[in-house]
Amino acid sequence: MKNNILLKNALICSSECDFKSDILIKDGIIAEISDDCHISFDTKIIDLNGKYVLPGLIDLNCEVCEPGYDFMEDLKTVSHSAAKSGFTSLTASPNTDPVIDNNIIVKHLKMLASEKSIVNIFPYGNMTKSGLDKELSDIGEMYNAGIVAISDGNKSVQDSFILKNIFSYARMFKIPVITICENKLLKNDGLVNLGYASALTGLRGIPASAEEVYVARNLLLSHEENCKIHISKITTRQSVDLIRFAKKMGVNITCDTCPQYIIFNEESVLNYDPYFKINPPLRTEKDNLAIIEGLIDGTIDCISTGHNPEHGESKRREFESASFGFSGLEPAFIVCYNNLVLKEHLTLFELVQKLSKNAYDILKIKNKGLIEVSQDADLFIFDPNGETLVKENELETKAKYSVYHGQAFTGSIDMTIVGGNIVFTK
Amino acid sequence: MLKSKDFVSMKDISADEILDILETAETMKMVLNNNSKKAPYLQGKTVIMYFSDKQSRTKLSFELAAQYLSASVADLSGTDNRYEEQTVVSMGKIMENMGADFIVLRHHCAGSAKYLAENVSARVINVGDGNNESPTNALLDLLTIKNIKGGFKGLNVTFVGDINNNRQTKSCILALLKLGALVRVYGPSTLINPAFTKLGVRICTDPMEACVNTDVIMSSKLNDMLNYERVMPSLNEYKNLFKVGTEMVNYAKKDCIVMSPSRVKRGIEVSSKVLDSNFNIVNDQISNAVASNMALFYLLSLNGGNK
Repeated sequence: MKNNILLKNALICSSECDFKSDILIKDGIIAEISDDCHISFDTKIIDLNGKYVLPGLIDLNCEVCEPGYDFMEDLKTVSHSAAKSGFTSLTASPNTDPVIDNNIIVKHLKMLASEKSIVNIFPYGNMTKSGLDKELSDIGEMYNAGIVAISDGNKSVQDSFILKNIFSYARMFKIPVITICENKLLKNDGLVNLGYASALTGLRGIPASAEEVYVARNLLLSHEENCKIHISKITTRQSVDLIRFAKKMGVNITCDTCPQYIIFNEESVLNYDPYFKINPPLRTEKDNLAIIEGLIDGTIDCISTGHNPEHGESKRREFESASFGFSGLEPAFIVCYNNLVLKEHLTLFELVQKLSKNAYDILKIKNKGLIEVSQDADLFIFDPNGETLVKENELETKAKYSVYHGQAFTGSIDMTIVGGNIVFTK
Repeated sequence: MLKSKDFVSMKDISADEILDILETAETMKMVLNNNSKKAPYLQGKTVIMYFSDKQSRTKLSFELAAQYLSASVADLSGTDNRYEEQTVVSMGKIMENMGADFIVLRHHCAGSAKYLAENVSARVINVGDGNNESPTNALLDLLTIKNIKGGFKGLNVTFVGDINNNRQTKSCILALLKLGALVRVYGPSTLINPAFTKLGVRICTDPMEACVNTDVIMSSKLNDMLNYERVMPSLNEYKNLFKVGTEMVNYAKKDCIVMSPSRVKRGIEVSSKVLDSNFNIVNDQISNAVASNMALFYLLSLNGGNK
């Protein structure tokens, strides 16, 4: 039996203008939006005093690490971390142990998620068996078991022939193929952006072309096979240009980037701070600007967090031997709000679309991503006048390190509701 | 006086500080020429040598420098792989707890010296961190140039060879730019990061452009540890295009000097004719090394650190 909740004096964000209203949540669904909702005796009333009620966010690129790597992160910690940041849904990257490459593991993960997670978990299936780029995995059976997309698990498929066949095969199920773009030969075991950062630090460089070559390849292959492709974590100016061009040419392509590629650039690694050792690497200021431009003109459809938890000890060591992990879930939305909305690159509505509705649409998940009657009651309450101070030891994730440690941001998330249940309150 | 407690990078040090070290090195040469070869400046101090490779000459020059200044010297060099599993900071803390006042570090990770310096109160001297810098070796080049050319302002210096993978060259370039020299580099384009222009370095595409009117030609050594097969065709082609030979020297000023590392590939990196000529200088003079190391120990002991 789910609680009925009335959110009084909620501010609802829409494309035209924000408006105040009451929202009635009944049986896990938004039942009514009006100033005169029908409430019963057991309705819990929460007065929001004009705080925003925003649709729950979804992360398109998140490693939940279960099964197999629960010493780095598990469904319980990652879901609490998500709820704290306004995410009501997570996708589960398939690079687990065992790799999510057949229906049994998909079902196992869904069972684990129902036991441990307080947010919705949408599994991805790995496109190749064991993630080895050699054989196609059981895409159809995984689709029947409930995956929402197939993905390369943040390990770009190097074999173009296999990838072409994956696009062709996935087309039958009309599910998107989610890829990241990284040519291993061009990456050449690099650690930072090739250019100023690599010249000054003596760390091996990763050229922008390591990404761009595969963006071009992937969009051409998917276009040839008429398959829907989503490129995750784009970081360079030319990648944005290529995707902009592809969209104009009618390629069925979407993409996302991460907050870190909007805010930081290669200057951050000049001090050898291992927290900034991430993959793909931080690029240049020009790339930051191109990414922002891509977000504004809609070339970049979504923002993902790139949450890639690694054990803290593996991050607190020499840059060269530190891991590439990044603790990105907390506080992704607040960081985006400060850097995109307060700096007037995007409106709050546009930002929320990129973190919610657009991503749900890509994955064809229905009834989520909007504050409208009969939508699922997945939402969070955002106070634009609040403050969020990031402290590493207060992070819910097991990856207790953050590039934002000690920073205070404007805005706070006061409550998160998933399916009508309050899963987080400040 | 040095502002920082450590000497880890030419990026963090001012032109005046570099000149100060070079001048002090000249004074230290006098100590070296003395009969007793002992000065009391590091009396009661402990120097720990922490090298993750087996490079012996540099270590020897630091050990001797510390001993000539009356310090206790201990050696913890990485013959044991277990050291590599530990972070440089955890090892540094152990050394510090044992009373280290100075840690002389050579490590395979770029940035490790800075990382160590920021986390221990002992003074850290960087003798090479991965592919990043080797500022102490650069001091020797600077000392040689200063002795022969008198100063650095307006001096034209050309580096020929592998610029990307030579940490000594990189430190030297950073220092020369700070000291007001004009730096040109020339070599296979796959071995020169175009971003060096951002630092103020001119990247040249032919030997004439690189060497015309230059005062110093420095051969930047190919890295013995690297496999160059995938970045340049052959040593034969390298020799034909990038060898420091009489052609390059002829473009340069009449009093130009050629500086080459001691283990230069004769006939490939520098021609035999140039190597055997009187304007060639092998820049790895060990007496200079000991003197400049002594200068560093002395100057760092005057300032910084908690001890």
